[in-house]
Amino acid sequence: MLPTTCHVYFGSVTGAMPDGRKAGLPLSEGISPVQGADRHGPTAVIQSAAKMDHVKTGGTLLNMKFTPSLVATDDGLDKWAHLVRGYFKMDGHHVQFNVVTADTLRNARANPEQHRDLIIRMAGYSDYFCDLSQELQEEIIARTEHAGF
Amino acid sequence: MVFNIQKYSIHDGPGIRTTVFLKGCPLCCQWCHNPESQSAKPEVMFVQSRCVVCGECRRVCAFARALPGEGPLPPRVEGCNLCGECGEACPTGARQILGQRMTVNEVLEQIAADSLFYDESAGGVTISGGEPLSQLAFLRGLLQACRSRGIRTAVDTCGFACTDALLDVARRTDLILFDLKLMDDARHRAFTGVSNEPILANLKALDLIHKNYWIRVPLIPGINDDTANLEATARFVASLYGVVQVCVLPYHAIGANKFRRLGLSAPLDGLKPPSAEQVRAAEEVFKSFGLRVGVGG
Repeated sequence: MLPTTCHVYFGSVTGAMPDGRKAGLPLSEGISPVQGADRHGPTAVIQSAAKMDHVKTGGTLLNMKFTPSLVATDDGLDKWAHLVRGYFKMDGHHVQFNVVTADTLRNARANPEQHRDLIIRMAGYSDYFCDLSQELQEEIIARTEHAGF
Repeated sequence: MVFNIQKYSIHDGPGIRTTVFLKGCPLCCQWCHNPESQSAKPEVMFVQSRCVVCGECRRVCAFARALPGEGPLPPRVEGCNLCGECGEACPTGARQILGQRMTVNEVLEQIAADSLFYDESAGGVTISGGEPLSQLAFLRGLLQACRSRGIRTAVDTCGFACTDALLDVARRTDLILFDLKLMDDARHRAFTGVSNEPILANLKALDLIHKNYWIRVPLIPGINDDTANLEATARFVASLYGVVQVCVLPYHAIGANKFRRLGLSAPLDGLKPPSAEQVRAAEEVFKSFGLRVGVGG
């Protein structure tokens, strides 16, 4: 739960765990969900993270990943701001976002088990990036690069 | 019959929303991006990339013994009674049964979990599909339950339903998202399987009682993106009173992937999404009729 970047070191000295994590691999970052455990989207992550009393922790770190399409428009940005305000209303302490780059997506294509939580959202449709076919993954990677994130 | 409940939906109405997808639709649009929403029954969905070829699905299936071959089962097994054993047995979630019977209270519980975000963003719940009006009793019950909890609602409809049902639902919801696909009836029949006459008549009837609805137009290259169709659509919409805005939804090829997972072939396989210029051109047509237009959402 420590907010500093020690999940890699702590992971390197922690043995295999019952959730399938192999010995030596990084732990999750701060209070963020374990890689691949976020299956219900950002509102669920935030509500889980807000359940603890952050005053007693001495500081927390929550990292979240967004695909660029989620924040590409003013409307998307407004909704993002509402999400963060929601977290603070529940007495959350700190959250930071990575808007994923084409490189992250390439990494997800190569290591799907680490990136099961990457969601592609559109009107009336959503899907996990890792479940898409190779060509579609390529297409989304190309589009992400084009968007300049 | 629900096939998905999606949190943090930001493209299906105002604010942060939860979208409830109901299964079963009277239309079968060739460009459908949620083909698993068409049948009103549960279905098996198979995601090839997750399969580790362990053969557990075949081992537990009562009907597979008669099938030749080894390894994972095809998505559609003859005689399948949707017992769900294969989905239970699959260790990686490659094989899933889609479509779950849920009560109003079960769905409400999941919706209400995000109430704080709806309040924060003036969001709420969108009931989509499939066609929500095809499950009228459930839809009414859910709208009622949301209203009594102070959760704003939207209903996303293809408009192909009994007029009384549509008007009754319109009175119980805050916003209607109404889809318009093709103005030419013959082409509408060819690409969606049904006539557009009842849809247009319903929209006119809705217009007389409801002052808050959005029109959504999927933009499908080569099918409905010609100037004649877009102008006819814009002209019709401009003649209505209660339209708040028009949303142009550019076609995307991702749904084609889902057809394969259901063991079906995608009718429009290989069709490319419209270019940014094509989308802008469509937007301009609606603007030229004095309509407020957005892309996506």
